[in-house]
Amino acid sequence: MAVTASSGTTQTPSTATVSRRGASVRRLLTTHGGSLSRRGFSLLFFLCLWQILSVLKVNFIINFQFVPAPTAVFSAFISFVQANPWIHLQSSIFRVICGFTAGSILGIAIGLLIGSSHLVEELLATPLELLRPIPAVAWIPLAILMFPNAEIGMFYITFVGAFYPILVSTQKSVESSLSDLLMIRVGQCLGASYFQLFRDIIIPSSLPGISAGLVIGMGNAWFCLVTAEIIAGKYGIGYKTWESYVISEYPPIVMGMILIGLLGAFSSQMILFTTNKMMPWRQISKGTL
Amino acid sequence: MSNLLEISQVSKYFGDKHTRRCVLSNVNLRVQPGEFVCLLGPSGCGKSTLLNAIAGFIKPESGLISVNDQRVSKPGPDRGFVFQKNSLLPWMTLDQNVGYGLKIQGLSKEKIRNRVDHFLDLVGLLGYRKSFPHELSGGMQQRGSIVRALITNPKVLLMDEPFGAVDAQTRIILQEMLLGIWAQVGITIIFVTHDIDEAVLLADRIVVMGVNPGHIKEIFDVSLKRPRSADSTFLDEFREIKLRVLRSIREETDKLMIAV
Repeated sequence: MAVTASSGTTQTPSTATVSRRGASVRRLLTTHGGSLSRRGFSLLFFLCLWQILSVLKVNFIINFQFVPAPTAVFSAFISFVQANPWIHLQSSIFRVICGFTAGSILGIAIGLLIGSSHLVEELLATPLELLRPIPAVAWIPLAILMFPNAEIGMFYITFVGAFYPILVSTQKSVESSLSDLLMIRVGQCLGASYFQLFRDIIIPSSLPGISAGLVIGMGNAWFCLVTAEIIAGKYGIGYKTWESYVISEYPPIVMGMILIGLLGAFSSQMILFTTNKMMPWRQISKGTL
Repeated sequence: MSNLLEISQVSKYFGDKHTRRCVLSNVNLRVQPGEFVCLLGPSGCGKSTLLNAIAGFIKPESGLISVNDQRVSKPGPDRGFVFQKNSLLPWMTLDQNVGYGLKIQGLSKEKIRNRVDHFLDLVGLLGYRKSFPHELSGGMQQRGSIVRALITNPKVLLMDEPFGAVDAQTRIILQEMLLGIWAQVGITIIFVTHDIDEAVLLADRIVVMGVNPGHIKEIFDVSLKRPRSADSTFLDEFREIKLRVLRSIREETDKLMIAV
């Protein structure tokens, strides 16, 4: 079986070193300084497992026969880097930034309006809700037909990915801020106008929710990139991934997947970092409760 | 002297037409400028409801409430409010919280800063001006809420069990601090509490409220000499008033027991 085969090869403690190893493993699992090494260790373990499964071409429920090993993916990465990678990265990053920016501006603006006004909710919520479950891939034909060129079609598909999580989380957090009677009464007693209440109380108290929407939206924009770049025709990491699949060249597919994963994770972290800077007042007690 | 606060024939109902229930019945009360009035009573007597109606958070079905001859219809800066707890805005530092009412009025940054510093100094929080609320103790947060409500010079300060959530030692300090500020600023205070000692220590008049439906049962004048401090609670006069108030409230809590 796949799992037993791997654990047999990666963990082979000899009896003489068992107690010492036991102590260091315990340190790795418990100390705070071990946090980084724990993360590194899990990544290494995962890569080793993958290498073994693909080298052995394990075929039990999941078929690893055609899955390129990490080493093959790495060489695909080297040849990608040597052959002008910037043009692909540039196109993809630009598309994601455009889609995400448009998605956050519209998502936050419409979310604020729907969350705070019954009238706007009645006017906009139904069509938006009906369009929401449509997956990005289903938009491809229309995106080709609706927009003057492929580039704008691709913006649109990444935009759709970013827009909805931002819209929904903004709307929901505004609604919950509005239901916080105490905070609103505080403002009213001090004579705040509706605009001032909105600016100084509703929006700040909705920020954590909006921030979560932005992080998910950024992830989703990358998520939809491969779909969008199916219509690219020339450049882009998603396009590269799709093209490699069409010509049955497997290592670059995985390389493209990993690149998208890395870029997506990195940009989500950037959003998280930036929005956290905007909320120095938050008190997060994770694991100390 | 004209009344600062006038409550006449106020009734309030909660619930829809099936569950409709009277929580305040025909409440009449007149408060003089500079007076310290405590609303006291068992839970369910409508004391917080009455305070919320004065603040304009809720509208009574009938009757009239006016502050300084202005009919109350919605919340406004002429009535400062101190909530029970955690009412400082978490995303503002202490000085931003305290100065928020002035910012709304459009005062210049420098004026706001001077006034905020003056009021923070009054409650001994000047050293914490840049702290966020979650970095302050419950007692400090309440002191901040009090000066936030006072800084805009309201006609009346409405306080809803403001010291109910702090420990006994801190409560005494806060009570003495409030008495000091009240004497210095000369503001009218309506203070809701269920703590008899607190009411006797603070008030010029104690309004005891009764249940089923909420109404004003009896009003006691507290002639205990000022300035008062925690030491005043050991005076015979203090105990004598406390006993009379206690008996009055007792009749109401007994009613609740029978109703259960």
